[in-house]
Amino acid sequence: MEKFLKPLVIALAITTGSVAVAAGNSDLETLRNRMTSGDTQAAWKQAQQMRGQWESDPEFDYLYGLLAYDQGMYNDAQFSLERVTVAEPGNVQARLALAKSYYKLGDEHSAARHFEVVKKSNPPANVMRDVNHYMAEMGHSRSGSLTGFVEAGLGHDDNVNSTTGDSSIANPSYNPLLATSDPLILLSPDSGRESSNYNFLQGGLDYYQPLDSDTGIEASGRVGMRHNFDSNDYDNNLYRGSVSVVQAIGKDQLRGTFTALNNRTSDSDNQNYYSLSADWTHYTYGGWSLSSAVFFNEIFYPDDDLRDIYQYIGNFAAQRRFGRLSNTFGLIIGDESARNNGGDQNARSFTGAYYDVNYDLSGGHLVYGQIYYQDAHYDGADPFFNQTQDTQFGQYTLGWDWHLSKPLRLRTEVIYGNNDSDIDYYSYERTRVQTGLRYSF
Amino acid sequence: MKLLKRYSVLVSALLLGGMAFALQAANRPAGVVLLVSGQANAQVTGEPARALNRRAEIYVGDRINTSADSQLQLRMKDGAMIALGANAEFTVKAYSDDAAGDKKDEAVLSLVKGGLRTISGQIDKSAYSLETPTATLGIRGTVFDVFVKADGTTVVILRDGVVMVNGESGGSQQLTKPGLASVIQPGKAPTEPATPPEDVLDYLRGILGGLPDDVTWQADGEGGITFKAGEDIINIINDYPPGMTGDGDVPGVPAGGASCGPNDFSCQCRLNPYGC
Repeated sequence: MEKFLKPLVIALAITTGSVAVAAGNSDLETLRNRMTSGDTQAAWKQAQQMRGQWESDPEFDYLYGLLAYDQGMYNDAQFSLERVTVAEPGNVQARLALAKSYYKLGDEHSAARHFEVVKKSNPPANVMRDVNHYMAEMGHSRSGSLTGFVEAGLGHDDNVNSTTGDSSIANPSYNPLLATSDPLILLSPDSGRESSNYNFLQGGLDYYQPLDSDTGIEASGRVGMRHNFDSNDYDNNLYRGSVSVVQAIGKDQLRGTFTALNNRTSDSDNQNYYSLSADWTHYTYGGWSLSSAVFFNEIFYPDDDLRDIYQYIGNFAAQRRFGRLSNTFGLIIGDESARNNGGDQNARSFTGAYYDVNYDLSGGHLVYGQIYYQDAHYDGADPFFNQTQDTQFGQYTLGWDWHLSKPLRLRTEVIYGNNDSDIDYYSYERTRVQTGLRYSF
Repeated sequence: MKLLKRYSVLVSALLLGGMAFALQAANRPAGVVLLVSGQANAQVTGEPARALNRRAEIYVGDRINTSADSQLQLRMKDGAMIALGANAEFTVKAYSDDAAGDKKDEAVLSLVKGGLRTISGQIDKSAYSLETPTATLGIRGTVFDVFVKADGTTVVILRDGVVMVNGESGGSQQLTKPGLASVIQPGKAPTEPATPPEDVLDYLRGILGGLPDDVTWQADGEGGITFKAGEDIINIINDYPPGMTGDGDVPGVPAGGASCGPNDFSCQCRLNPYGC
């Protein structure tokens, strides 16, 4: 009898233990789900019921600390989060929450010490901005923060001039019944598609100056230079600067930005671009970030003022992170008008959609992809082909970002673009492969 | 002899039961250890000292000691929290089994040296007292810090609520303004509420507040973080908009296409291919 009972008792004990552990984990999972879905009241109630059994478990303490903070019980949050940071000193998220708890409790000295640790941990930009706001509010850091990068690399572009690769195109004026013109237009070999290897060098600076706990000014500058090895034309230098005023209102952020851009191709002014934009972002408890923006842009071409346009753009985007996977979906609507008479063929109405995804593979590796699709209708007939153009443009990017060390990373990407126009002359495909080494500070 | 034999089982049972009752009476649980960093032990008079570990029970009568660089956090039966700093000696003199928040409640604690921070629990406030060598503290729903120096000088700092400070040598002060402290030196009355001494604040900031030299913001499951602490959950306490970054040329944000903000159309030449 004993022979049979012993294994039965052991099996029962193991099963009971497993069920208990599973039930416990499931409680924690339910709590987490309630929190991420925004049902913080129910989560808080559950957390209080679980406290007797779970308190001192770092994960529970973390969740409890966040909920206590959310409920305005900052002392409870402090005790709970202090346990997490002692048990897991590398948990910067818990330290951030703890610093905020100290701040709420009026212990600015402790808050500042922990915010400093968070700042030094190389956190995401939004966290850095948040911490800067707190530091500014406490008078610890009104000096702002400066970040920047330099990147150099090599690449290959199979269509540096974005033109059709065909030697002839269909003649849109050709009428097979009348046959008064040729069905095909032969293109000059000199104006054909050019491919080239290239090197590039780019750099940027971003400065953020908090003014008080909710307001700040950010300025950014970019310089980019590209030199083609195999083509004398289409070397490209780009200079861009922007200044923004940022206003945080609870979980919302409003920002107004002025941007100026000068693009020089083969050392001549090709394009100047001025932009006024306003954007809004909002976070919802479900984990979605929502944003919207409007832009008013003026684009000038010093060598060809018929191409000058006014551009009006609106967009809406939603962003969500699922663990290591980050997704962004966006919709764009835009309208352009020619600045000068006779330029309608260069102004468009367009709609677009995009999807960006990146996945953190851990170990310093991140893969990312982008899809952008745009459908455009031009306002006026092309003077040469006597036809109003419609285009569908798609751009697809696949990339890999390798974090070699804290400031250094290697970025490799393939970008494929396809412009499909009903005037063949404007249709093209273009593929670029490039790799660059970036140093950030 | 026969009779004794017959009733031996019963007698043994009674003896064992009596011992168990006596032990239970002596070791009435008063709380549980939530965190031990470094070394701490507890001892009921007449019994061997017990090294304290996470989830260990604390009993009425326990004298708790923490060593250098050690910290301890306790949850008392009535829900009160106590965090003890390094080199502290603390005694649970009395703690009601049934902290019902009524007149039958009793909580008498003693801090002989070192410092603590506490949030009071459900126990009736009038039944609560914390004794130090130079003062006795009463509370009215409170969070406060106490530090006892080597010479017995006591510093009480109010965080929230109200604390009554009664000097052993007479005199009393009521602390009502958070952040202010009263100091009670041996043989003297408690001082008027004032800014706490910096050395005391330094000690108290060290209670469970140690800082690592160098940490890196990690994705979930990395860098010794054993659970998901990332954006999904930390955003519960966000009072800033998350994740809407610009070009990504700021610390922590990946470079290149992956970092394009949803409103950043010049990023990767999305809408302005001329700009590339």
